[in-house]
Amino acid sequence: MADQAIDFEFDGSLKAYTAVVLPGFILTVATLGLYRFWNTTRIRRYLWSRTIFMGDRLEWTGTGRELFLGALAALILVLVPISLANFAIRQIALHGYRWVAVALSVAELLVFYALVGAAVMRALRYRLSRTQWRGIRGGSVDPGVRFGLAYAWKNALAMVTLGIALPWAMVSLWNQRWRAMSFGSLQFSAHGRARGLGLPFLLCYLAPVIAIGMVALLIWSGMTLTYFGYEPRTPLEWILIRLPAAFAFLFVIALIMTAYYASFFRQMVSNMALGGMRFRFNASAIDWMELFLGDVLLMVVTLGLGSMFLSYRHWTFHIRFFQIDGQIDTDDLNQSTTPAPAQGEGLLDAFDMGAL
Amino acid sequence: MTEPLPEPPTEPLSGDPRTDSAGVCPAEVFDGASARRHGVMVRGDAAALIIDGPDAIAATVAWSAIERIDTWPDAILLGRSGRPGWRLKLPLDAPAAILDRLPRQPRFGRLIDRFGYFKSLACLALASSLIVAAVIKAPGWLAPHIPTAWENGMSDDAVGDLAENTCHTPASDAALASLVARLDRDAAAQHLPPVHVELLKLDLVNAVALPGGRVLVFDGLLHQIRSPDALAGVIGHEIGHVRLHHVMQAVLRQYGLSLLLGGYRSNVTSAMGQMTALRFTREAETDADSWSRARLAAANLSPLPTAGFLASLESENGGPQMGIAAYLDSHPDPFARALAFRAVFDPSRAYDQALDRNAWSAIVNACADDVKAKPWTPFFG
Repeated sequence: MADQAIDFEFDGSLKAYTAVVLPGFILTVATLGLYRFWNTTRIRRYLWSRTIFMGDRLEWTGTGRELFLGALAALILVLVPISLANFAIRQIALHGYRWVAVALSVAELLVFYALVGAAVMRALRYRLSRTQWRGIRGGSVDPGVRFGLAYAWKNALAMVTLGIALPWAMVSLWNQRWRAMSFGSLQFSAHGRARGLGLPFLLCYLAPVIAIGMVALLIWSGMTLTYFGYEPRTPLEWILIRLPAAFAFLFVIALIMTAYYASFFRQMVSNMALGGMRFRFNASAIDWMELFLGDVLLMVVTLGLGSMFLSYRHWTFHIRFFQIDGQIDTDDLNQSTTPAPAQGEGLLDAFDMGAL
Repeated sequence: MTEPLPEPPTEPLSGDPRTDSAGVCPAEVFDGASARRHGVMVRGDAAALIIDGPDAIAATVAWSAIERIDTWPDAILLGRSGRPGWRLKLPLDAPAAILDRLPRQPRFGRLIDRFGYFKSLACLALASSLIVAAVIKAPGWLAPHIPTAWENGMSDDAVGDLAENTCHTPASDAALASLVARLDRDAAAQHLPPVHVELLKLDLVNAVALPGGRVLVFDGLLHQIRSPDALAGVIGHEIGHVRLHHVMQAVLRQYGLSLLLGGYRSNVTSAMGQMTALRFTREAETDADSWSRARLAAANLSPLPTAGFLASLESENGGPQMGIAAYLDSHPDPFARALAFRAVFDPSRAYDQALDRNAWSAIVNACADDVKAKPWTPFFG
């Protein structure tokens, strides 16, 4: 068989999704947010089960309890020690050992970055291990410690080089992360390259310069109106006058960043493979921008209540643009031998980075 | 002769057309070992689900071992306890002999499903309200028992760097100290730790009370206020916050709420947190005003200038002026407060002056005279 597209289909509807998410959202509010772990599970179970690959639906097998225990463990094992360390460093600084405190702060930041890296890795591993198709699940044998360290030093390098090394760091971390992942008996391969990301990143790099220009425009936009005899009398008016310029400013910056991220994501996905399947992701910067602007509008118009629809929007966005070439021999796809992690993406959750 | 008609069945036939005589229906099994799909026939009896198919797949699974995973638009998904990845896709129109014996579909979680959605919702909402009420009320009776040393530590932590943004001249320090001593006269007798009042170089009409008995009067307020007696009223109000433990209450309340809501962050709950974490409650503001009025009276100072200052916050144009917005944000209805101060004015009484002309000008000009004081900015401070 020649290469043919075997894409994901999505047969869910916003109406059915609302019937799933709304009662859970009400419970989340009534429990001061505690129920959100269970609601996340309900949302994923719906989105996964309405996604069809080669005639069979995906299945989310994770539970709310796993997510809750993961978050609890992260809170106790990570956030509490970090706050204690912060307190100690501040006390050291207050007692005059300024340089000791600075050195400790840097060390703490590195440890923090390593933890974030481990969290990113472990969350991906958890999600794959709870994603099932035809009874087969994904996973990883890598506990994420080495990835955490790589995450820390590569980000530190990106920082020290004032961002120049950032595309390289992002690419190599993406590859490292996905190469450790598997689905069933098949290992993911990832050979993304930083080449080709140069131009979009250069624009990002220039973004601060553009930002300064836009800030000048922001202040100036108010002054033109003042020049024409309109004096802002209340703080609200002062802000309103500058609002159009502020939006233009945010839009330009966001567009630049999105253009980079779009080409990064496209290149990373298109250099990945699993068994006989190769992946593609066709979303352009404009598509991403539509997604993000839609998110912002949704949140503003609904005063934040629309947040419950973000998962739906993002999941369907990824399904829409995700394409697969090649084929998979289901007889050769055997069960994963990776250990299934016991807890959810607690660490990532604790750092408030859980996206979906 | 015709054959007699067969006897009607002793058990009435179920009206369900899905049920054929054998109660058998096709289904698909994934064995959890490979992604291969196995077509099987399934039927149910009283004890078990019977799966007929290839040898490796055929099985008789007791109902107690059957898990209902999900109901999909085109199938019911079953699992088997102790066999991760084992899945049976049952058609939605499977025979009643099977469907009726399946466990219930989990919906919101075991506990909530057991009691029902609305009953659980009501109980959980009630419990949450009680917890929030406790967190809001508890600081009121906890705050007076927090040791002063802890409070001082908190202040150093939060605003330790303000030293270079506060204005000090020998004359202004002396003038402020004498004003504070007049207002806070009972402190020494009651062995209370002193209140430190300082001037902050910041062009906003505001004054704040911080943990550790620290009061900051903003430079902007001094230029707006125009009367030493009104300054006494404002400082009296802030010292009132300190002496009535409002600062510690606000800190505890904010900490409690952030712990409660921030721990399980979601957009709704964090917005709720912001709304409830106003610096002081309205009662606290009213109590601090009362404290201020009592101390003005005890120091034989007129409450009228304070009333005038509060009334002036509502500017001539009706709307508040820009710099004053900050003050209005954190304090309720200035007009009502002005009336309360005016009400205790006694026209027959000969009031003293809070500060003499030299002391007053030393305070007003402190931030201009103290060349070392830097303007405080929220971004780079």
